[in-house]
This record gives sequence, structure tokens and C-alpha cells, in this order.
Amino acid sequence: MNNSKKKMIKREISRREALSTGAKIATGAVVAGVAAGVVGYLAGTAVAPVRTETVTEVKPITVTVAATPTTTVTPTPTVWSYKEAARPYRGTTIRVVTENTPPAVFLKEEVVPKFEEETGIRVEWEAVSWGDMYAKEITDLEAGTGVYDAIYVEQDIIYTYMGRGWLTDLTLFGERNRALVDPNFDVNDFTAFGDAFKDPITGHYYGYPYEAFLKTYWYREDYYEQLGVKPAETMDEFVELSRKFYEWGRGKTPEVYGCGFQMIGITLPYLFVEGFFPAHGVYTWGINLNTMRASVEKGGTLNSDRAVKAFENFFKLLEVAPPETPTFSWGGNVDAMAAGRTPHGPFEYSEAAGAAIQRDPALRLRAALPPLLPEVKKEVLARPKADYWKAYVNYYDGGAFSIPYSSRNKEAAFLFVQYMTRKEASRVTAIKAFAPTRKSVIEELLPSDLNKKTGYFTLIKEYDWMYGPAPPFREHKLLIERFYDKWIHKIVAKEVGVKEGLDALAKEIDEMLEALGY
Amino acid sequence: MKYKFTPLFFLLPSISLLIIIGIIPLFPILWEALYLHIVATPVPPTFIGLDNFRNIVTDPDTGYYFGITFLLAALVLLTEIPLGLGVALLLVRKFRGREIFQTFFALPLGIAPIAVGCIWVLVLRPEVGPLTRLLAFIGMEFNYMASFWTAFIAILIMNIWRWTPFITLALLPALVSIPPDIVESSRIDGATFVKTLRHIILPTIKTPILTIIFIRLMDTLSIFDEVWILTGGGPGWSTRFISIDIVRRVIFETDYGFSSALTLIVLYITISICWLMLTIIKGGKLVEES
Amino acid sequence: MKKATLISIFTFAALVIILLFEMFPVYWVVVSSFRTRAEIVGMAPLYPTSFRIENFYDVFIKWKYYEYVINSLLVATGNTLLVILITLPAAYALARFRIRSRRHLSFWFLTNRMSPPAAFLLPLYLLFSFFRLSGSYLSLIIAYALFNIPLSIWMLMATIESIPREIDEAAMLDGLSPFGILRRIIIPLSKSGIVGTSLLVWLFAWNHYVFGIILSGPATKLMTMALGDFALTTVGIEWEYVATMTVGTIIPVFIVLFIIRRAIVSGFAFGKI
Repeated sequence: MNNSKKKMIKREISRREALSTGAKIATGAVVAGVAAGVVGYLAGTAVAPVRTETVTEVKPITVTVAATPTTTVTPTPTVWSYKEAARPYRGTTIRVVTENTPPAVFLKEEVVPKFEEETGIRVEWEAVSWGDMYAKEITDLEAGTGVYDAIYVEQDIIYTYMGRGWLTDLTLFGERNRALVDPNFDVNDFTAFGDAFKDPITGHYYGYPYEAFLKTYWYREDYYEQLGVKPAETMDEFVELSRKFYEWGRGKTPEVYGCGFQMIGITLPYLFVEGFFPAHGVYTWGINLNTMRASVEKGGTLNSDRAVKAFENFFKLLEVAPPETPTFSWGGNVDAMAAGRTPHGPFEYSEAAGAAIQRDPALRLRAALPPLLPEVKKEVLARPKADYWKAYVNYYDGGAFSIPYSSRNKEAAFLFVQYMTRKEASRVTAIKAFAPTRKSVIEELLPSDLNKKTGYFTLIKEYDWMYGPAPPFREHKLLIERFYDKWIHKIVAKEVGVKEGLDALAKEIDEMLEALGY
Repeated sequence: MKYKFTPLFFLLPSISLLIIIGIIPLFPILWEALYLHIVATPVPPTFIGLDNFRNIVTDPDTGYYFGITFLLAALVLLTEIPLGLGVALLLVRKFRGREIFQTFFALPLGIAPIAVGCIWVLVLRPEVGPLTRLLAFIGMEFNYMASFWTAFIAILIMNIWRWTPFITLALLPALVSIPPDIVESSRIDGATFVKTLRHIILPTIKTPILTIIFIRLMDTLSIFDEVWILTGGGPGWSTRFISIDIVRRVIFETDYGFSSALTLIVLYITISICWLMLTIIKGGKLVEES
Repeated sequence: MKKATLISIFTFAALVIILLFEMFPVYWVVVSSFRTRAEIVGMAPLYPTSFRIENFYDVFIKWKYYEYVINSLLVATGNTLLVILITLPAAYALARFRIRSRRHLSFWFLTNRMSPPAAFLLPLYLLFSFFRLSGSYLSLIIAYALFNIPLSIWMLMATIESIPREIDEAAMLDGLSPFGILRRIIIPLSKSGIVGTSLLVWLFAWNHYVFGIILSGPATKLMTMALGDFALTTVGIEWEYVATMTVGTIIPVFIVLFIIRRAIVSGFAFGKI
């Protein structure tokens, strides 16, 4: 045993040498790896170009919308059909990612199979949660990997994507590929919402809308009849009405409360910037579009008296809201209305209302203009129709299909995007999900039963110009995630006073915008 | 000697792989942390030196996020360890069905953290969960998202549910190894339960307990999946533990500079705590020097 | 006598309550996964009221979620193979040989295992997108090694250390190289340990979520990501499918745990602490 022990000791001693050599090799590998990593990283960032055909300087996008471009329609000599146009692309597969909203679901069920049949182009449709979709889109677009050929772009994120040059100019693409343009596809038929996807300077489209709905006042007509009241026009009336319903609903089975809202997580700041703020005259999220600042001293309206009033009314309404309101998601109150727990909501997503009616056709929901401060109504009526960000009553929500610049199947995707947003498809989203994007479809639906019951399509036809899409902030997700989310939750949880919280919020936003170079 | 390099070769693949995924990516991160780089904005990455770090350190909320994470860890340890030990003590003596109990008891350990979150959402959410209804019988109106404390306690209970079996099953071998005669004889000598605990049981489990504390501590500090599903950091930002904070900043705010700085700080803290715990667990086998 | 029976009764009652507490949420999920959404949201009773296999059919077959199961399987198994392959020799080296920087090495492994995965989200994303591997199976298989390698090395080390050194030494006298020792002696003798470790590594890989957020692309979507999708929907959570997916994620786990129940009971997995 002694011998082997000596052998082992010898082995151990030389182990040390072995390891020092090993350590040297390892260090060398690490240093090489580090150098490679740094060099590679620098190369990587140098390669990502800002590909854009529009202005790239960091200036606020001006508000007024340019004239609509000349249509991309050129009548082709032979009869145009999707089938013929898609012939060179039969058998390709395009990958689409979208949020699994009700309109998306209906499109997937009713329109996509028809597209695949007519064109022979296979569609890989991914409908995921919002966070997932956003993460996937950003990673694909940033790295330029071309994973997706068509993406869902909400009208608040379009400016981010456009600003980074990530999207294909559809107007230009159509002009360069006349054979792929559907002659029946009329871009002028889009509602005012279509403007939200245009470059304000060139007027070119970067996305074609496939869902568009108003955030507006929805109420249970049967409850209103029982109480013998009409929809409120001003915010004060609405608060009174809510209180009335609360009194009336006590002790009933099921109990009826006064009002409800989206409140959970990130839905709460959106409730304010999309709903309460405009209704109280605080537009474009309280940030002045020219100075790009939020605090009153610098031209913004975020910590103004109007904003304070918005919170005050919110708290008043919260008093008469059901106890589980803080867990309501985007359509939470609509579900509550469907269940009879609340009689109305001042700012509800119409697509949610539409989906609720789809599920239960006996449901009697009706739409109206949101309750406003009297000054707001005046300001809105006084502004030029196209200048929506000057004054608007509430949020014009929706989304479009866009084609990433990095897509490798742009032609097939272009056919797809047109197919999903043309009149026939718009009809589907209009009826099933209350998300019409075309004036002609709205006209068609005016005499329908659905409109008679809800009044929604009449509302769109006559008043949709009063609503405004999200302001053109490229960093809007950053702003809402980091600042609005934090402070609005603090204010609502009463951790900080309303004025204090708004002041702090405005200050932080201004600092950030300044750091970004505005 | 003939096999001078062999152990090196044996270790090389593992070490290299860990270097590639664990060390090399930290260099671009170091770089990013010095920049203002927000992906969503067209502003190109700008060098701002240590500003990211400064912002993190001076922001009062950062202290809050780290604070609640450590608070959770402390409460988790304070509740789980005694509970786990208690259950283990109940299991020490062989009885019929002990094996069955142990098998079922171990089930929650294999469930994915994200599935744990989903399970508890189904149990706790007022719309779908039985808990709210059960508590309503006693007259308590319960909504786990009502305030920070309700959410925090919900997370704590979820954690206890998930991990107590781990502690029990980890302590059991050590406890079982205590010869019953010693316990018997000390009882004859008049020792109370507490004394038995202090002088016999605790010393035996000293090493495994310290290691368990270490593992649970680090795991709780990195808690993510369950909380992501159960509260998403809410209500508001009150349950925004460190991992949740980082993930939100990377994915939603797309602020790579800030996130990188945060990542570096978190890793530094992790390494420090590891070092601290190891010096405490002096006798631990991980530090064995043959 | 009386005291002893009181204690037994108390012990029995306590254990029953504890087991109920642990099992109830699992029971609830399973019951919910067989219900319709209307039942779940409509204050359903505690006992099972439906047995809708359709839920599972809808999710896994009609919507082709079996693809995600396959993805998760591929990644988990791939990672396990990779990890076991490279950590077996490593554990052997660490257990048997005197290595100078063993202490530092162990510490470094420890920090890899203990770091929050979220902290490595951005670093790994930068790394893999640089190599254009983001969203591939390979990226996930490699990424999981970050926490699985340390785990595997520890457990295998413990297994190897339980093999008496004399066997090694005898083999060395016979002229076997370390590699030969590894192959002919260590591995055959540690079979159960290796199996147990592999299963644990596999489990951690199967259950992982965080890295999937950034590394799991449309082609490689994992079960856990799909589950997250269902649970994080903003409009109209489909509760019955959340439950169904959860059950789907848990089933392999239960199978694995059942296989190694002997090991659990004998404290294998935990005795090495």
C-alpha cells in the first residue's frame, strides 16, 4: 500500500502543475472569449441600422394629419383575384403573431381558412397574450431575424415601431408591386381610425387596421328603464346616477352596485390615460405634444386641476363599486354588467361589449358618448375634425396588421394583410366583435338589429371623429410601465395624495423625456 | 505523471459551458450598464457613465423592492423551517402508511413554479376559488389582491405549501438517524420536550438545517414564476420582488441599460450572500478541503 | 398508556390535516380541469361535478398543444443528456482528485445555481441573439445548464463519494486509467445515483419558465410558456383551460415522482445535504 500511496502523492503534486497549466489555458480562453464578446457586441450594435424612410430626428411628431395619399389602386387589365395574384407564392408559409383579442379569434375562425384556400399560402397564426406578443415582436424586430411576416400593431405602439424603422411602408410597397394590389381595397374607406397608422408627414400607411373600437359609455338598458333614467351627459350626472343605482341595488339579489372599472395591474393607468383624463380635459396623457413635457409649468396638463378632478370623481365612483373591482381586467366591468352586478361603465372597450353580446344575445347593452366635463364637450366641438389630439372625448382603440421590414415573404404577407382588412373581413369583426374599420361596413350595419339594440354603429358614424387614438409617443410603453403605472397605483392606494402624486409623476416624466433628448 | 491532465479534461466541458453562458455574457452587460439604451426609442444608445447605477441607488423604490424580497425570505424561513421540522418530527417513528404519506407529501415539490402560481390563482381568485367562499362562511371578505398584506400573505402561504415538504423530507434522514435509545434515556432522566429538542435534535440537524436555510434563502430571493402569475407584482407595485422588477424592465420597458445595471447589482448581492452563508456553514462539505 | 395514545391520535390528526392542506389545491385543479367555464366561475361545489374530457382534447389535440409537449420533452431531455454527460466526469474529478482550486470552483458553481434566473435573462438574450440562436432548441438546452450543471455535479459527487476509494485504488493498481475507472467502475456502481440525478435535472428543465420568456420562439414554444399564455390573458381568462394545461404540466412530474418514490422515502435526494 505504501507504494501506491507514494504514487498517489506524486500524482497529487503533479496535479498542482497540471492545474496551473490548466488555469493558464482557462484564463486564455476567458480572455479570448471576452475579447470576442466585446468585439462581437460592438459589431452587433454597429450593424443595426435605423432603416427608415421617414424623419429620424428625435422630434415630436406633429399632430395634423397630412392629406390622404393617392390611392394605390390602378385598374389592372385582367380581372384581379387573390388566387391569381398569389400564384407565384403558392405553398409559402407566412407567420403571423397577434394578441388573442375577440376580433382576432373571429378572424382566425372565419377569414384565415378562406385566405389559405384561395391563395394556397399557409398561415401560421399565433395568438398570444399581450405581454408575450409584445416581447416576441420586439425581439424579432430588433434583431431583424425575420421570424414574423405580419404582426399585430396596436395603434399606440405604431409610433414606436415606425420610429425605429421596423415596418414596411405599405403604400410604397403597393405602388411598386401593382400586381399584388387588390383593386377593391379602398384605403379611403377606412374610418378616421385609419389615420392612426399613417406617417403624419408622407401620409403613407404602415399598417392596415383590422379592428377599431371606441372606448365609451356602455349601460344596461333594462336597468335604466327600471329606474326610469337616461344616460348621463356630464361627469357629475354620472356620479349621481351611479350613487342612485347603488342605493337601488342594495339588498337586491343579485346585488347591484353603482359602477365598475378595469383596475388590476397595468389596466389601471390605462383607465386614466385613455378614459378619465380625456373626459376631464386632460389630453394626450397630460403631455404637451409641442414641448413634450407633462408638468403644468412646462406646458403640460398632467398635474393640473382637471387631472385632480379626474381622480376625485374616480374615488367617488369607487365608493359605489363592487368590492372585487380591483381585480377587474380590461373587460372586467363588462363581464360584471353582463352578470347584472353593475349597471354601467363610463369607459368600456366596445369589443368587450360586443363579445358579451355575442355570448348572450339577450343582453341589453347600449352605447353612448362618455360622460364629460362640460368644458370638454365645448373644446371638442370647437376643434377641426381631423385634429383629434387637440381635444377628444375618449380613446379610439384598435390595431392593425403590419409587415416587419425584416420579413422574407413580404409579397405573400401583403396579400394576407389586404385580405384580413378588406371589406369582407371588416364585416366579420364588425358584427362579431364590434370592431368595424370601414365606413362602408358601418353604413351597411346601420339598419341592422344589432345597431337598433345597441346604437353602437350610429355612434361610430356620427361621433367617432370625437375620439382620439393614443398620442404619438414612441416610448409610450416605457412611460406607462415605469411612471404612470407606479404613480397612479400609489395614488389609488392612497399612499400619496392626488396632487402630490401627480406632481411627482409629471416631474419624473419630464426628467425622462429630457434624458431622451426631447 | 501519466494522468496529469485528466481531471482537467474531465472538468473542462462543464467549466467551459458555464463560462460561455455564465461569464461571457456579463461583459456586454457591463458595457450596456453604462449606457442609456431603450430599445423602443429611436434614440441611439448614449453613454451615461454610472448614471444607471446612481438612479438605482438613489431611487427610494429600489430599497422597497429589495426590502420586500428580503422580508419575504425572512418570513419564509421563520415559518417553513419550524413547520417542516415539526412535520418531520411527526414522521420520525415508523407507522403504517408513512411511505404513502411521504410520497403524496412530496408531490408539490415536483410541480413547476408557474403551475404552482396557476393552481393558487384557481384557489384564491374570488371568481373561481373556493377559499373566498369558505372564508365568507366565517364572515371574512377576502380578496387576496385587496392590499399589499393580503397579497404578501397569499404568496407566503403559497410558498409554505410548496416547500415545507422539501424541508421535512430533507431533515427526515438526519432525524431518523438519532438512536431512539438516547431519546428514551433522556426522557427517563426527566428531560422535557424542549430540552430534548435543544440538546439532541438540533445539534444533529445542524448541518442539514444550515444548508436548507441557505438554499431556501437564495431560492426565495429569486422568486418569480409563482408571483408573476398570482399577482404580477401587484396590487400596484407592492409585491414587485427583485426578479419581477428586472423582468418587467427588460421586457416591457425595454430599458437595457437600466436592467443591465440592476442585473450586475443583483449578481453582486447574490455572490456576497453566497460567500456569507458559506463562511457560516464552515463545516459544510462544499468547502471541504481534503 | 393514555398519554401515548393521545399523542398518536394527535399525530394522526395533524398529519391528516397537513396532507389535506397539501393535496387540496392539486385536487381542486384536477377537478376544475374537467369542468366547463360556466361551472368554474359559477361558484362550483367542492366535489367534482363534471367530467369533461373534451377540455383535454380541445387543448392538446384540437389546438395542437401536443407540439408544445414535444418541445418541452425535447428540451428537457436534451438538456439532461448534455448535463449528465459533462458532469459525470467533472463530478468524478472533483470527488476523487485533489484539485487546487476546488474550493473556488465549488463556490463559482454555487453562485451559478443560486443566482436568480431573471438576472440572466438579458445576458443570455444578448448572447444567443448575437449567435442568431434565439428561439432555437439549442439555446434552451444550453441555457438550462446554468443551474443544472451545479446541481448535477453536487449530486453525482455525493454518489461517487459513497463508493469506497479502495475500489478505485485497486483498479489503479491494475493499471486502469482514470477514464477507464470512470467507465468500468464508477458508472456501473452509481447507476441509481445517476438515474436519480438525471430525473431531478430533467424535472428542473421541464418545469422552467423564466428563460423561455426570451429564448423560446414560435417554433420551440414550451409547455410552461403555453401555460403562462393562458393564465396571463388580459381579456377573458379561460379558466377551464388554465386548469387543463396545469394538469398537463404536472402529470409527467407525478409519473417521475412515482418512479423515484422509493428514493424519496429513503431520503436519497435529500440525504445528500
